[in-house]
Amino acid sequence: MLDKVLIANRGEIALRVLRACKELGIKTVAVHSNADLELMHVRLADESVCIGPANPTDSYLNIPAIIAAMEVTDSVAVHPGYGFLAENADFAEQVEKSGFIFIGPHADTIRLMGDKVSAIKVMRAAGVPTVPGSNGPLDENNERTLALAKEIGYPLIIKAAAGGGGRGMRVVHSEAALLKTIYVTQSEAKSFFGSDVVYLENFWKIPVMLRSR
Amino acid sequence: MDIRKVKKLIELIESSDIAEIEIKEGEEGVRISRISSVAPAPVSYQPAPIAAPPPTPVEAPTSNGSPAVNAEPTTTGNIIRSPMVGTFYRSPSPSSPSFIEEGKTVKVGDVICIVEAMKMMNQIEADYSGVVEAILVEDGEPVEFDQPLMTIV
Repeated sequence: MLDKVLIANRGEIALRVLRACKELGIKTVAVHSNADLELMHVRLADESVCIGPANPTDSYLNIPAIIAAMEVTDSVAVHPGYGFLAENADFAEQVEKSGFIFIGPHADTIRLMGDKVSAIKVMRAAGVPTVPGSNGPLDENNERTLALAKEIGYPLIIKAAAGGGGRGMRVVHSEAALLKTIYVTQSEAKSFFGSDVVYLENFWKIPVMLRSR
Repeated sequence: MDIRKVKKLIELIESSDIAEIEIKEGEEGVRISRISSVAPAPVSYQPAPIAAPPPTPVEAPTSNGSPAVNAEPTTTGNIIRSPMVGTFYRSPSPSSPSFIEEGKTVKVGDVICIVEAMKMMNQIEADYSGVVEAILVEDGEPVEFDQPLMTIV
Protein backbone atom coordinates (compact mmCIF):
# COMPACT_ATOMS: atom_id res chain seq x y z
CA MET A 1 0.00 0.00 0.00
CA LEU A 2 1.18 3.53 -0.70
CA ASP A 3 2.90 5.28 2.20
CA LYS A 4 1.98 8.90 1.55
CA VAL A 5 -0.26 10.55 -1.05
CA LEU A 6 -0.36 14.21 -2.04
CA ILE A 7 -3.85 15.40 -2.95
CA ALA A 8 -3.64 17.88 -5.82
CA ASN A 9 -7.08 19.37 -5.40
CA ARG A 10 -9.27 21.14 -2.85
CA GLY A 11 -12.71 21.36 -1.31
CA GLU A 12 -15.09 18.44 -1.44
CA ILE A 13 -12.96 16.56 -3.96
CA ALA A 14 -9.92 16.70 -1.68
CA LEU A 15 -12.01 15.67 1.31
CA ARG A 16 -13.24 12.54 -0.44
CA VAL A 17 -9.72 11.50 -1.40
CA LEU A 18 -8.60 12.30 2.14
CA ARG A 19 -11.30 10.09 3.61
CA ALA A 20 -10.35 7.21 1.31
CA CYS A 21 -6.67 7.58 2.30
CA LYS A 22 -7.55 7.55 5.99
CA GLU A 23 -9.59 4.39 5.57
CA LEU A 24 -6.61 2.74 3.88
CA GLY A 25 -4.10 4.00 6.43
CA ILE A 26 -2.31 6.22 3.91
CA LYS A 27 -0.66 9.44 5.09
CA THR A 28 -1.98 12.56 3.41
CA VAL A 29 -0.51 15.83 2.18
CA ALA A 30 -2.80 18.71 1.25
CA VAL A 31 -1.62 21.47 -1.06
CA HIS A 32 -3.26 24.86 -1.08
CA SER A 33 -3.00 28.40 -2.34
CA ASN A 34 -2.27 31.06 0.24
CA ALA A 35 -5.96 32.05 0.11
CA ASP A 36 -7.08 28.52 1.01
CA LEU A 37 -5.05 28.05 4.19
CA GLU A 38 -8.13 27.62 6.38
CA LEU A 39 -10.01 25.14 4.21
CA MET A 40 -11.10 21.94 5.89
CA HIS A 41 -9.07 19.57 3.72
CA VAL A 42 -5.92 21.46 4.73
CA ARG A 43 -6.74 21.21 8.42
CA LEU A 44 -7.61 17.52 8.27
CA ALA A 45 -4.62 16.33 6.25
CA ASP A 46 -1.51 15.04 8.02
CA GLU A 47 0.68 17.66 6.35
CA SER A 48 0.10 20.67 4.15
CA VAL A 49 2.15 22.74 1.75
CA CYS A 50 1.33 26.18 0.41
CA ILE A 51 2.06 26.03 -3.31
CA GLY A 52 1.14 29.42 -4.69
CA PRO A 53 -1.11 32.46 -4.75
CA ALA A 54 -4.89 32.40 -5.09
CA ASN A 55 -4.97 32.21 -8.91
CA PRO A 56 -5.33 28.49 -9.73
CA THR A 57 -2.95 28.80 -12.69
CA ASP A 58 -0.17 29.63 -10.24
CA SER A 59 -1.15 27.10 -7.61
CA TYR A 60 -3.48 24.14 -8.26
CA LEU A 61 -2.52 24.08 -11.95
CA ASN A 62 1.16 24.75 -11.25
CA ILE A 63 2.86 21.48 -12.15
CA PRO A 64 6.39 22.30 -10.85
CA ALA A 65 4.99 23.57 -7.56
CA ILE A 66 3.01 20.38 -7.01
CA ILE A 67 5.92 18.12 -7.90
CA ALA A 68 8.22 20.17 -5.64
CA ALA A 69 5.68 19.74 -2.83
CA MET A 70 5.85 15.97 -3.39
CA GLU A 71 9.62 16.13 -3.12
CA VAL A 72 9.77 18.10 0.12
CA THR A 73 7.16 15.91 1.82
CA ASP A 74 8.55 12.58 0.52
CA SER A 75 5.17 11.74 -0.96
CA VAL A 76 5.04 8.56 -2.98
CA ALA A 77 2.05 9.32 -5.19
CA VAL A 78 -0.28 12.12 -6.21
CA HIS A 79 -4.05 11.88 -6.51
CA PRO A 80 -5.27 14.63 -8.87
CA GLY A 81 -8.96 14.35 -7.93
CA TYR A 82 -11.01 15.54 -10.90
CA GLY A 83 -10.84 18.77 -12.89
CA PHE A 84 -7.60 20.76 -12.43
CA LEU A 85 -4.73 18.52 -13.61
CA ALA A 86 -6.63 15.22 -13.57
CA GLU A 87 -6.88 15.02 -17.36
CA ASN A 88 -3.55 16.69 -18.09
CA ALA A 89 -1.32 14.14 -19.82
CA ASP A 90 1.77 16.35 -19.35
CA PHE A 91 1.24 16.40 -15.61
CA ALA A 92 0.87 12.61 -15.47
CA GLU A 93 4.03 12.24 -17.52
CA GLN A 94 6.09 14.68 -15.45
CA VAL A 95 4.99 13.03 -12.22
CA GLU A 96 6.13 9.64 -13.48
CA LYS A 97 9.38 11.07 -14.88
CA SER A 98 10.12 12.61 -11.48
CA GLY A 99 9.91 9.17 -9.90
CA PHE A 100 6.43 9.40 -8.39
CA ILE A 101 3.19 7.55 -9.00
CA PHE A 102 0.29 9.28 -10.76
CA ILE A 103 -2.97 7.83 -9.46
CA GLY A 104 -4.91 7.70 -12.69
CA PRO A 105 -4.59 6.53 -16.29
CA HIS A 106 -1.24 6.34 -18.04
CA ALA A 107 -0.21 9.62 -19.71
CA ASP A 108 -0.58 8.04 -23.18
CA THR A 109 -4.12 6.93 -22.39
CA ILE A 110 -5.06 10.41 -21.24
CA ARG A 111 -3.67 11.82 -24.49
CA LEU A 112 -5.42 9.24 -26.60
CA MET A 113 -8.82 9.74 -25.03
CA GLY A 114 -8.44 13.50 -24.67
CA ASP A 115 -8.42 13.86 -28.45
CA LYS A 116 -11.90 12.94 -29.62
CA VAL A 117 -10.81 11.94 -33.11
CA SER A 118 -8.26 9.44 -31.83
CA ALA A 119 -10.64 8.27 -29.11
CA ILE A 120 -13.29 7.43 -31.71
CA LYS A 121 -10.69 5.61 -33.80
CA VAL A 122 -9.63 3.49 -30.84
CA MET A 123 -13.23 2.69 -29.91
CA ARG A 124 -14.08 1.62 -33.44
CA ALA A 125 -10.98 -0.57 -33.60
CA ALA A 126 -12.15 -2.19 -30.39
CA GLY A 127 -15.53 -2.90 -31.95
CA VAL A 128 -17.44 -0.35 -29.88
CA PRO A 129 -20.29 1.21 -31.88
CA THR A 130 -19.92 4.97 -32.34
CA VAL A 131 -22.22 7.69 -33.63
CA PRO A 132 -22.04 7.78 -37.45
CA GLY A 133 -19.74 10.57 -38.53
CA SER A 134 -16.72 11.64 -40.54
CA ASN A 135 -14.54 9.17 -38.55
CA GLY A 136 -11.59 11.48 -38.89
CA PRO A 137 -10.71 15.16 -38.96
CA LEU A 138 -11.93 17.55 -41.65
CA ASP A 139 -9.33 19.00 -43.99
CA GLU A 140 -8.99 21.95 -46.39
CA ASN A 141 -10.85 20.08 -49.14
CA ASN A 142 -14.35 21.58 -49.08
CA GLU A 143 -15.70 19.12 -51.64
CA ARG A 144 -14.68 16.23 -49.47
CA THR A 145 -16.28 17.91 -46.47
CA LEU A 146 -19.54 18.50 -48.32
CA ALA A 147 -19.62 14.89 -49.55
CA LEU A 148 -19.00 13.56 -46.02
CA ALA A 149 -21.78 15.76 -44.68
CA LYS A 150 -24.19 14.56 -47.34
CA GLU A 151 -23.47 10.97 -46.36
CA ILE A 152 -23.94 11.65 -42.67
CA GLY A 153 -27.11 13.58 -43.31
CA TYR A 154 -28.58 16.70 -41.70
CA PRO A 155 -28.92 17.81 -38.96
CA LEU A 156 -25.33 17.12 -38.08
CA ILE A 157 -22.93 18.52 -35.47
CA ILE A 158 -19.42 19.93 -35.86
CA LYS A 159 -17.19 19.06 -32.92
CA ALA A 160 -13.73 20.19 -31.86
CA ALA A 161 -11.35 17.23 -31.45
CA ALA A 162 -9.72 18.85 -28.42
CA GLY A 163 -12.98 20.13 -27.04
CA GLY A 164 -14.72 19.43 -23.80
CA GLY A 165 -17.43 20.60 -21.48
CA GLY A 166 -19.91 20.99 -24.31
CA ARG A 167 -17.95 23.77 -25.94
CA GLY A 168 -16.55 23.98 -29.47
CA MET A 169 -19.63 22.31 -31.00
CA ARG A 170 -22.24 23.61 -33.43
CA VAL A 171 -25.30 22.04 -35.00
CA VAL A 172 -25.85 22.49 -38.75
CA HIS A 173 -29.31 21.97 -40.27
CA SER A 174 -28.60 22.45 -43.94
CA GLU A 175 -25.77 22.28 -46.44
CA ALA A 176 -25.94 26.03 -47.11
CA ALA A 177 -24.72 26.80 -43.59
CA LEU A 178 -22.07 24.06 -43.39
CA LEU A 179 -18.81 25.62 -44.51
CA LYS A 180 -19.35 28.93 -42.72
CA THR A 181 -20.24 27.15 -39.48
CA ILE A 182 -17.18 24.93 -39.76
CA TYR A 183 -15.01 28.01 -40.10
CA VAL A 184 -16.52 29.64 -37.00
CA THR A 185 -16.22 26.43 -34.96
CA GLN A 186 -12.58 26.07 -35.96
CA SER A 187 -11.71 29.61 -34.79
CA GLU A 188 -13.55 29.06 -31.53
CA ALA A 189 -11.81 25.73 -30.98
CA LYS A 190 -8.45 27.28 -31.68
CA SER A 191 -8.91 29.97 -29.06
CA PHE A 192 -10.53 27.74 -26.42
CA PHE A 193 -8.52 24.57 -26.82
CA GLY A 194 -5.45 25.53 -28.83
CA SER A 195 -6.40 23.28 -31.76
CA ASP A 196 -8.69 23.92 -34.72
CA VAL A 197 -9.13 20.24 -35.64
CA VAL A 198 -12.84 19.45 -36.06
CA TYR A 199 -14.93 16.50 -37.20
CA LEU A 200 -18.55 15.80 -38.08
CA GLU A 201 -21.16 13.60 -36.47
CA ASN A 202 -24.82 12.74 -36.85
CA PHE A 203 -26.73 15.06 -34.50
CA TRP A 204 -28.87 13.13 -32.06
CA LYS A 205 -31.45 15.33 -30.38
CA ILE A 206 -32.14 12.90 -27.53
CA PRO A 207 -28.79 11.36 -26.67
CA VAL A 208 -28.00 8.71 -24.13
CA MET A 209 -24.82 9.12 -22.12
CA LEU A 210 -22.79 5.99 -21.53
CA ARG A 211 -19.71 6.26 -19.38
CA SER A 212 -17.16 3.55 -18.85
CA ARG A 213 -13.88 3.40 -16.93
CA MET B 1 -8.23 8.72 19.66
CA ASP B 2 -4.95 10.61 19.35
CA ILE B 3 -4.22 14.13 20.45
CA ARG B 4 -4.09 15.52 16.92
CA LYS B 5 -7.59 14.27 16.16
CA VAL B 6 -8.86 15.84 19.37
CA LYS B 7 -7.16 19.13 18.57
CA LYS B 8 -8.74 19.23 15.14
CA LEU B 9 -12.14 18.46 16.65
CA ILE B 10 -11.66 21.38 19.03
CA GLU B 11 -10.75 23.70 16.17
CA LEU B 12 -13.73 22.64 14.10
CA ILE B 13 -16.12 23.04 17.02
CA GLU B 14 -14.70 26.38 18.11
CA SER B 15 -15.77 27.86 14.82
CA SER B 16 -19.36 26.76 15.40
CA ASP B 17 -22.06 27.58 18.03
CA ILE B 18 -21.97 24.14 19.61
CA ALA B 19 -21.72 24.32 23.42
CA GLU B 20 -21.00 20.69 24.15
CA ILE B 21 -20.34 17.64 22.04
CA GLU B 22 -19.66 14.02 22.85
CA ILE B 23 -18.24 11.57 20.33
CA LYS B 24 -17.79 7.84 20.77
CA GLU B 25 -15.54 5.72 18.61
CA GLY B 26 -15.96 2.12 19.62
CA GLU B 27 -14.83 1.97 23.22
CA GLU B 28 -13.14 5.35 23.16
CA GLY B 29 -14.90 8.64 23.46
CA VAL B 30 -14.39 12.29 24.08
CA ARG B 31 -16.63 15.04 25.43
CA ILE B 32 -15.81 18.67 24.77
CA SER B 33 -17.62 21.46 26.55
CA ARG B 34 -17.33 25.17 26.04
CA ILE B 35 -17.09 27.18 29.26
CA SER B 36 -17.21 30.59 27.65
CA SER B 37 -17.09 31.73 24.06
CA VAL B 38 -13.54 33.02 24.59
CA ALA B 39 -11.83 30.36 26.71
CA PRO B 40 -10.41 27.32 24.90
CA ALA B 41 -12.72 24.31 25.22
CA PRO B 42 -11.59 21.85 27.94
CA VAL B 43 -11.48 18.20 26.97
CA SER B 44 -12.61 15.36 29.21
CA TYR B 45 -11.96 11.74 28.33
CA GLN B 46 -14.37 8.91 28.93
CA PRO B 47 -13.03 6.36 31.43
CA ALA B 48 -12.38 3.83 28.66
CA PRO B 49 -9.13 2.10 27.73
CA ILE B 50 -7.46 4.77 25.65
CA ALA B 51 -3.76 4.65 24.90
CA ALA B 52 -2.25 7.60 26.74
CA PRO B 53 -1.44 10.21 24.11
CA PRO B 54 2.28 10.97 24.03
CA PRO B 55 3.07 14.38 25.49
CA THR B 56 3.15 16.17 22.13
CA PRO B 57 3.24 19.95 22.16
CA VAL B 58 -0.07 21.24 20.82
CA GLU B 59 0.73 22.17 17.25
CA ALA B 60 -1.05 21.81 13.93
CA PRO B 61 0.90 19.50 11.59
CA THR B 62 2.40 21.76 8.95
CA SER B 63 4.65 20.91 6.06
CA ASN B 64 7.68 21.45 8.30
CA GLY B 65 6.20 19.98 11.44
CA SER B 66 6.87 23.11 13.45
CA PRO B 67 4.45 25.98 14.14
CA ALA B 68 7.20 28.61 14.29
CA VAL B 69 7.72 28.29 10.54
CA ASN B 70 4.31 29.62 9.62
CA ALA B 71 4.24 32.33 12.29
CA GLU B 72 4.85 35.83 11.03
CA PRO B 73 8.26 37.05 12.22
CA THR B 74 8.26 40.28 14.21
CA THR B 75 10.31 42.92 12.49
CA THR B 76 10.33 46.62 11.81
CA GLY B 77 11.60 45.96 8.29
CA ASN B 78 10.46 43.85 5.35
CA ILE B 79 9.99 40.12 5.03
CA ILE B 80 11.44 38.26 2.06
CA ARG B 81 9.18 35.32 1.27
CA SER B 82 9.84 32.22 -0.77
CA PRO B 83 8.37 32.54 -4.28
CA MET B 84 8.18 28.77 -4.66
CA VAL B 85 8.11 25.36 -2.99
CA GLY B 86 11.44 23.60 -2.54
CA THR B 87 14.50 23.12 -0.38
CA PHE B 88 16.31 26.18 0.97
CA TYR B 89 20.08 26.42 0.66
CA ARG B 90 22.29 29.24 1.95
CA SER B 91 25.12 28.66 -0.51
CA PRO B 92 25.45 27.66 -4.18
CA SER B 93 27.10 24.36 -3.20
CA PRO B 94 27.96 22.55 0.04
CA SER B 95 31.58 23.68 -0.12
CA SER B 96 30.93 27.34 -1.04
CA PRO B 97 30.38 30.15 1.43
CA SER B 98 26.84 31.39 2.09
CA PHE B 99 25.38 34.02 -0.19
CA ILE B 100 24.64 36.31 2.76
CA GLU B 101 24.92 36.43 6.53
CA GLU B 102 22.97 38.27 9.18
CA GLY B 103 24.23 41.84 9.33
CA LYS B 104 25.21 41.96 5.65
CA THR B 105 23.90 44.75 3.46
CA VAL B 106 21.95 43.69 0.39
CA LYS B 107 20.33 45.57 -2.43
CA VAL B 108 17.38 44.68 -4.63
CA GLY B 109 18.39 41.96 -7.09
CA ASP B 110 21.21 40.46 -5.00
CA VAL B 111 21.07 36.66 -4.81
CA ILE B 112 20.33 35.76 -1.22
CA CYS B 113 19.72 32.01 -1.33
CA ILE B 114 18.79 29.03 -3.46
CA VAL B 115 15.48 27.18 -3.46
CA GLU B 116 15.90 23.83 -5.11
CA ALA B 117 13.05 21.94 -6.73
CA MET B 118 12.95 19.20 -9.36
CA LYS B 119 16.76 19.15 -9.43
CA MET B 120 16.88 22.83 -10.44
CA MET B 121 18.74 25.32 -8.26
CA ASN B 122 16.71 28.51 -8.43
CA GLN B 123 18.53 31.64 -7.33
CA ILE B 124 16.30 33.81 -5.18
CA GLU B 125 16.89 37.55 -5.37
CA ALA B 126 16.23 40.13 -2.69
CA ASP B 127 13.25 42.35 -3.40
CA TYR B 128 14.23 44.81 -0.70
CA SER B 129 17.44 46.69 0.04
CA GLY B 130 18.86 46.98 3.54
CA VAL B 131 20.64 44.98 6.20
CA VAL B 132 19.82 41.31 6.76
CA GLU B 133 18.26 41.25 10.19
CA ALA B 134 17.40 37.59 10.63
CA ILE B 135 17.58 34.44 8.51
CA LEU B 136 14.56 32.37 9.46
CA VAL B 137 15.21 29.06 7.75
CA GLU B 138 17.94 26.46 8.25
CA ASP B 139 20.16 25.24 5.42
CA GLY B 140 18.52 22.24 3.75
CA GLU B 141 15.06 22.90 5.21
CA PRO B 142 11.96 22.54 2.98
CA VAL B 143 10.06 25.74 2.33
CA GLU B 144 6.60 26.46 0.96
CA PHE B 145 5.27 29.31 -1.17
CA ASP B 146 5.16 32.62 0.75
CA GLN B 147 7.11 31.23 3.67
CA PRO B 148 9.16 33.98 5.37
CA LEU B 149 12.86 33.38 4.62
CA MET B 150 14.50 36.45 6.15
CA THR B 151 13.87 39.95 7.39
CA ILE B 152 15.57 43.04 6.01
CA VAL B 153 15.71 46.35 7.88
